[in-house]
Amino acid sequence: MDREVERDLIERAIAGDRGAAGDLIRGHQRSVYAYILRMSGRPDVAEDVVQEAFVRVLKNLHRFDFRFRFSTWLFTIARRLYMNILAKSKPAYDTDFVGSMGGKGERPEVGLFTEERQSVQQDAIQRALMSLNTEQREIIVLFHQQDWPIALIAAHLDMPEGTVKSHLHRGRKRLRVLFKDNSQLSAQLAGVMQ
Amino acid sequence: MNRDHDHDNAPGRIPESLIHAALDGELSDDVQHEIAQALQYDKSRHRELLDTADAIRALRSEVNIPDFSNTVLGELDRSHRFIPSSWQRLVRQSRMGIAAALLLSLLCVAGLQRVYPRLTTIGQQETPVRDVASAIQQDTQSVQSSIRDEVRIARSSLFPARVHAGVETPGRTGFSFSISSAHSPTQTPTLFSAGFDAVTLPSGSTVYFPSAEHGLIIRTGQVRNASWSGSWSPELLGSTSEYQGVRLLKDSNTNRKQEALELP
Repeated sequence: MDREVERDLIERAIAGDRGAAGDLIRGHQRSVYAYILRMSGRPDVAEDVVQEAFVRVLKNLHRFDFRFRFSTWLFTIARRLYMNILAKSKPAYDTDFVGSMGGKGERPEVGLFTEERQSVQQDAIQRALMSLNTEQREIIVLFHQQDWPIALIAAHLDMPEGTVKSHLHRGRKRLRVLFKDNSQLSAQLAGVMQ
Repeated sequence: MNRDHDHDNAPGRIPESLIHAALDGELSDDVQHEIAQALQYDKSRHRELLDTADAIRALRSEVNIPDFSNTVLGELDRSHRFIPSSWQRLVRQSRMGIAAALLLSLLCVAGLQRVYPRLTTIGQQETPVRDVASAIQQDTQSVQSSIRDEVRIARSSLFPARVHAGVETPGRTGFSFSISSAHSPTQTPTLFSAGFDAVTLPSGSTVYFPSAEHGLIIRTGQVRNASWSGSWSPELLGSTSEYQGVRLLKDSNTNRKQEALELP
């Protein structure tokens, strides 16, 4: 979102314009939801975190400092909320793929195989991400999914740029291996089921 | 690990750090082009790069997202349901002023309560308005009583014989009085031309005794010492006749008729 447009939306939302607040939400919900979804691996957690993050941001919109990016502020609040949840209970990766394989010996309908194949890549990358440690996962997501520069990630996570790069390189190498393995496994499973 | 490291640094291989630098976007287009050329001769590294690209592509793939705008705005509406946005802004911008005004108001109320405790008392307590109403009622009664007294005095001065308020009813038992005088009761009362005798009854009424022989002369307020005295029984009083407030009485001893004027 263009910064001028974003500033205009924020100022109107502060003045009580519901439409502007709605546009602001719709303009950022995809990126922040994807970020938390990739971090948590759980859509229900991502929904709760993102909704609460938007509520908090909009309630405190009058405190926003226009020198910074709105998305950075939103991501910081969302990340903090997610970390709070993570501290309370470590979430387990919940995959529909595993659940849909069925445990009663029933053969699923053929139409479902296509859908499963389409979600194989999603499941493989999510499983690979969840196998990384939190720092590596977050840096990978912020850099490759959200296109944040190294310097911004370093500021966001409050760590030196060199450390960010180190996590990024190690995480990326590991992600490649894990994703390849998971993809092959998923493809084999899909072949068996067909 | 060491084997991997050795393998990475084997002659003819592209260093992994260079691939990372390229993926990090730290290399110029020319250098990236050279690496792309070199990857044709390093199949293993090329394969790794393709696998990495696949992973990143999967990472960047679209995810289905719910629309948060309605739920978030609904949540905000619930928390600010009754406060218009203009008020919220006003409150936000002048929080300190509002707090100071509230504090000042509380101090004023506290001061008033100290000076006029009843003014700030809430409930079924005495209030100034109630006091005023009560005072007005009392004043009204007082004025009414005063006017009634004045009217009675005026009426009594105009028609003194008609006034019988407080006079004991004739024939009533237990009613007696006596007149003490230096003169003998059997003597004919000496009536002064300018006055008449009087006695106050237990009811508060005053009975004046003029002389029957000398006629009745009434001059209110000019009461002299009694020159005539006697005892009057209820029976005697009961036998009196009354005309214009003047009772014709009989002396119990002399059986002489006497006239008496009763005034309250």
